[in-house]
Amino acid sequence: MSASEFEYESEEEYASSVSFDELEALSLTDSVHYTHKNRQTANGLSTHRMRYKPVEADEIEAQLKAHIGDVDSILQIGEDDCAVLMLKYEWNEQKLLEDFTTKEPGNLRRECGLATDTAVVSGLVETAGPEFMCAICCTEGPIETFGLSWCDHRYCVDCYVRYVRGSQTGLVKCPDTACHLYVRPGELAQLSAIDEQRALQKEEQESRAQRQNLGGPLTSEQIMAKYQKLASESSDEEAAESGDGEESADDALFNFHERHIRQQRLEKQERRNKVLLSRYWYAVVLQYTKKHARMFRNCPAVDCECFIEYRGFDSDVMSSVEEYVAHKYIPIVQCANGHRFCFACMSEDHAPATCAVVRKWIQTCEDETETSHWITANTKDCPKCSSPIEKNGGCNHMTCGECHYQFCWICLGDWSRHKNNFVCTSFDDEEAKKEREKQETSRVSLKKYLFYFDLFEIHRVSLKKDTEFLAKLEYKVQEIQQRAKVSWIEAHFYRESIDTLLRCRITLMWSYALMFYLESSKEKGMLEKTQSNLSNHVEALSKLFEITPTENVMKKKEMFLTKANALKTSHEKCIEIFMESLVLNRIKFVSDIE
Amino acid sequence: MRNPPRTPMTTTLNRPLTVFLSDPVPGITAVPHEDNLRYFNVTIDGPSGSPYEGGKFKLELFLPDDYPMLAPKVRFLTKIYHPNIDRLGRICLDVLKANWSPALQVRTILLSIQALLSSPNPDDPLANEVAEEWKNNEQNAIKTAREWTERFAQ
Repeated sequence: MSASEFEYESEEEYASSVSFDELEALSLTDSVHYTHKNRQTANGLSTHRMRYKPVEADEIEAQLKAHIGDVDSILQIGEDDCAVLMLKYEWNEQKLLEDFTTKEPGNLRRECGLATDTAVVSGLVETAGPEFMCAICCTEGPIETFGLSWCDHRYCVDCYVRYVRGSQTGLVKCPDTACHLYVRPGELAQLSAIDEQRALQKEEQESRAQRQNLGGPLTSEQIMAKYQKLASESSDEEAAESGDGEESADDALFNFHERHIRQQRLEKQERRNKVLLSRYWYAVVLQYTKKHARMFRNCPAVDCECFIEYRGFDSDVMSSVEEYVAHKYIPIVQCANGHRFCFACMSEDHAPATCAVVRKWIQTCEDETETSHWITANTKDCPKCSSPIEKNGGCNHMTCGECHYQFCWICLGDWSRHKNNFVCTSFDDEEAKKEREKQETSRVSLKKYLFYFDLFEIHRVSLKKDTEFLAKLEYKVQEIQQRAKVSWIEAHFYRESIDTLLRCRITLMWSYALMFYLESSKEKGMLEKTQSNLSNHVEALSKLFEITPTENVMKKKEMFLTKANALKTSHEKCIEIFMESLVLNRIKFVSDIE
Repeated sequence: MRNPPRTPMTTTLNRPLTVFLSDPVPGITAVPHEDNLRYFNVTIDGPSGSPYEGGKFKLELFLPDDYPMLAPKVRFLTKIYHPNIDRLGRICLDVLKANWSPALQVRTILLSIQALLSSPNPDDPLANEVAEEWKNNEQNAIKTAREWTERFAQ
């Protein structure tokens, strides 16, 4: 579906032309998201939005397979060979087609790790006789072996599986060093199938052996295995029986919904780790997305295997992400698992601070420049030899430890002018004035930095605490359900509220970092007001989470909803206002930030 | 992606090693360390016809956890004057890096190192000064190599 089809004329027309089923299918398969909600801000300013689509690895995998199929319909060499060629050509279809027509076919195939003579030398999986010895593990036959169809290098299945598992790319060579062949996806599928089959057999054997061994004492490993098995079984049973017995119907609904999502995700992940073929395809997808880094981003969250596909902008003014960022826009995207990150710099959500500000802020926090700031603010340089001096007593008559120059701490002038009394008399001295001005500026800058750093840090710590709270949330929500006897949908507000709270904290945190780099102006004052408004809303909602005991939470549900909604509105507005100021260049940065 | 599971020492490691130890290569010895069966003390005799002839070179060899999916780590302990071996004894050899394959054995690796002594490759150097000398003044370089062999590898 092309993007233009989204720009429908009127609501009615769109709704009538698409049936409900179609609409649902659309939203599931091809929903395009925007980096921010409205094209126009509240003040009527039109902005540019980046379009993106959260995709999962299997969707890209299917796309790639279709792509390979398309290319093969031209080349007619079989999809397996075609897949290897495409991988070798790093998905550069044109180059491949060009080489395919100009190069000698034998050479092309040899260069790309395909056999020139396509007579099948051996079957993929064969049981070798006693004369066989696996060159990797030296196990002697008879044993089940695996080898590519076009060469006679055979290794035992276990070694082959481990070998393929260890490689990180889609191009896996035959283990023999002299052989130039690549493992083709079709061959890999066979290996994967037999690996799965063997894993199943092994499991069965183990359980049989365990049943036979029941008479004797168990070893600690067996006990552990048994425990893990029982534990996983009992959780399976729970899932199966969640519909009846002690749990109420509402609980079951809650559990069903939650478990369904979680299980789907776990299954997918487990499959990827366990099954050789899906692991292989994930490697291929990763390679593809890295090659097309302009179009795809892998979600940076730990263990998240989602991708974001870049879909251009909703206006012709912007042409690239770099340009977009240069205009001080912040392309925050959200992956299918709900992780929010910046499409340009790949760090976590950092709106309203621009990528450049984030980089500079992090650098400033890490840098020792702030240490030197302390030195300039708390010490004075000897006017003669410039060694930094920290005052160690009450007397203002300083003698430099290095050059023994005597000067006045107050005016930084020569002490000789103070000779007769210990009162500073040359405060208006020209030279002394200059020295003092230098001190003043550095002191102000340090104060400013510490002010914003403290605010940033406070919110960072709160954010951390709230995230920890979120980890325990499920338990808490269940507790609310049980104690107040309500269904999960009624207790859902709790989760939504904390999600809102977390997002707003991130925004607040980064807004302080941004403020540090802004020159004071009327506009900045306005931003500060917005910021403090958001801050108030955050604190108001945050306070509600301290409500104990749990029974009372449900009584305050309305409070939660109002506060969370108010916060949401305030947050949206805040983001909008910051964006407006940044994009229209209405505020100036103190130091030049790229 | 997660790491592949660790391979148990008993199956994948022991058998190739027994095969290797029971069928030694002339001029090469490898003795596993008492405390750590993955660690080997290796000696390689300088191949005849090379400036290293008559020398006995000590090396250490370590099989990492993921062996044989990862290459063994090998290092010269004896000082040697060679364009592909640096002052720390590290070896520049393709089969130890990019061209490693699990089908290669410890035996093949050690044989490759022995072959490297016979035919130094100054065009792909690790010790730049040695390689330069080797290219510009081969006679002198070979002489130094022979001297070093006499001094350090006895």
